[in-house]
Amino acid sequence: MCRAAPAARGLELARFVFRRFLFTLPVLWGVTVVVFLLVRILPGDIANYILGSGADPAEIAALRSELGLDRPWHEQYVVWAGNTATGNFGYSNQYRRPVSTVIWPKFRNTLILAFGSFVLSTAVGVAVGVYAGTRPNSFGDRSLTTLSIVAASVPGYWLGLMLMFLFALRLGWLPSTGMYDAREPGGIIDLLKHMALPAITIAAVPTAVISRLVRSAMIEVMQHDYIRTARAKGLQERLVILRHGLRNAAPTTIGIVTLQLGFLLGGSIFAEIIFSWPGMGSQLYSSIGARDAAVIQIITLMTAVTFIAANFIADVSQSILDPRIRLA
Amino acid sequence: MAAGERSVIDATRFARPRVDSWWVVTFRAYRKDRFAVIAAVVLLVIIVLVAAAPIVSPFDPYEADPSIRIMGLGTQGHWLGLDGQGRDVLSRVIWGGRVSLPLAVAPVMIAMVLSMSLALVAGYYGGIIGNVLMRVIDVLFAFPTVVLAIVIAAFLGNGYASVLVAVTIVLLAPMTRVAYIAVREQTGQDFVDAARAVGASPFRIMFVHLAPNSFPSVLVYSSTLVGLMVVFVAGLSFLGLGLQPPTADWGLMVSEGRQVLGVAPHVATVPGIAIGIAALCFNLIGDGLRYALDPRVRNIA
Repeated sequence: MCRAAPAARGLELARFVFRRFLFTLPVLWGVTVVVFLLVRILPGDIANYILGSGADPAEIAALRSELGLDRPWHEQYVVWAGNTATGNFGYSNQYRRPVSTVIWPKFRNTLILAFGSFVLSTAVGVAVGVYAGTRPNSFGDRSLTTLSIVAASVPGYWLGLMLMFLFALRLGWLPSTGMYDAREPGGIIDLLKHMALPAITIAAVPTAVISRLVRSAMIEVMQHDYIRTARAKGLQERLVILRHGLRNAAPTTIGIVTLQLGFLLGGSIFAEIIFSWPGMGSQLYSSIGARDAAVIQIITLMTAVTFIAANFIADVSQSILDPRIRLA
Repeated sequence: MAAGERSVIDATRFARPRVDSWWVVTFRAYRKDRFAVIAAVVLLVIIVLVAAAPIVSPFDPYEADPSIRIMGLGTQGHWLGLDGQGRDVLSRVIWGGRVSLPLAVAPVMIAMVLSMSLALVAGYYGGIIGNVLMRVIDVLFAFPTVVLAIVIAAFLGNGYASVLVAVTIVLLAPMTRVAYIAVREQTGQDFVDAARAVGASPFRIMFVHLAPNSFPSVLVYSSTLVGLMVVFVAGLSFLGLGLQPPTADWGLMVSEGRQVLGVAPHVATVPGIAIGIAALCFNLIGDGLRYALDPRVRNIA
């Protein structure tokens, strides 16, 4: 393959990014339709849902017209989609204020927690995978592989409770709930202390999955001739693994890691509820309890959009590392 | 063979070489995986115990004795302790399996049939029908599984049915994708053209020719999902969606144990371990099946 001039390569990349972006548009549109229909297609009327069973029929009718539910579906969709796109997320019945003022702080808190567990699961998962994959069938490899199979079967919500019992209630090393200390909230250290247990809870299963897949990717890569060449020219084993092994396993690794993003977003719901982390997961839980349909809808939409965006970024970074993908 | 030794036709000459059936080959390959065999045995024991709950369970899972509530492990007669209301934890774990296990397996089975059918239609007809179907699946795929299932279950309300529907819907997206790829690999093959040439109906081609050939991939993928679903379905009960107290269910038991975590950690620990062991067994069996059913891996061994 001839090496294209830098400008041409940049153009090629830009073309790939643009084309990949165009592919996400119909999915994005579909997601908004599903979120819109979710509230309407399911048994029971949204007004009934908000007011609860046994509400006054006149009250229900009033709420229906207030919410525009007496208009045809496609009109409702256009109005709803237009509002949502311009940041008007509707009105929260639970808090009696606009949904947007409720949701943005929660979104930020969830991103902080998800980022923490993402870093944790990637660092540990890749390290374990590289360690095990460069010495297959050794004692260390077998122990770690067995451990990862067990870890992948542990229920996250149960692990969270166990961690809370041990490290917060029994040993008292870490706080059990919240995001900052209530009496003296103190910066990043305080945040990290509160984040440790929920982040470990969320990261457990993705770490296990990442380590297993990185292990097999490394085993595959380390069999290539260029690894033997690198060793033959006297390169330190550490550099052989990092420069020639891991770098060539990187595109696969990035694909694996980003596939876990959906799991991180989902797993964070359980961890947020158990550790009372003020994010979208615990908000979703409380909104379900309060039958706050507008908030439930927006949370569903935002997690899906975040997920799509993460996959988009993953594909783009993968294509930068492995130009062959762009040509496919 | 010497001529004239026997009469005109030697039947053995025309007998086909002995070919082991698919089941035998699979079983033999599966047997090589020690962990998968152990997991299958453990799971069988669990299923027998759970099925025989009325006989083996030492106490009534709903009978509460507040005077001995939250007594710990090793309490006389109640070896796994008592919960926050004074109910026997061991009995509740055994009875709980009757709810938790079927509720994890059933959605996978239903989704397997549905996704296979969808993939056959989409894969065989292709064109507009196939494209529309698969784009709908793409959209479902864009939602994080847990979030979608929680929201659907929440809107559907309480009960077994709502969990079943919610979990089946979220399973459809990944399973249909796997099934669709498997079906597409078959549609271009000569035997499909041959079937069409002799005038087989589309229905016959789909279910007699395409389905059996693409089913193993779907089965392998499904078997890796059951373990996840054991954890996930119990998670929905943990959140208070679907099943309601006082039902003896593993997820609900963990959630009830959460209330007394500080004073009686065993109440949440025991059912959690039950979920973990069941999930681990299913995961190991799934791994074993994957290797046993994958001819590329199987033939090397």
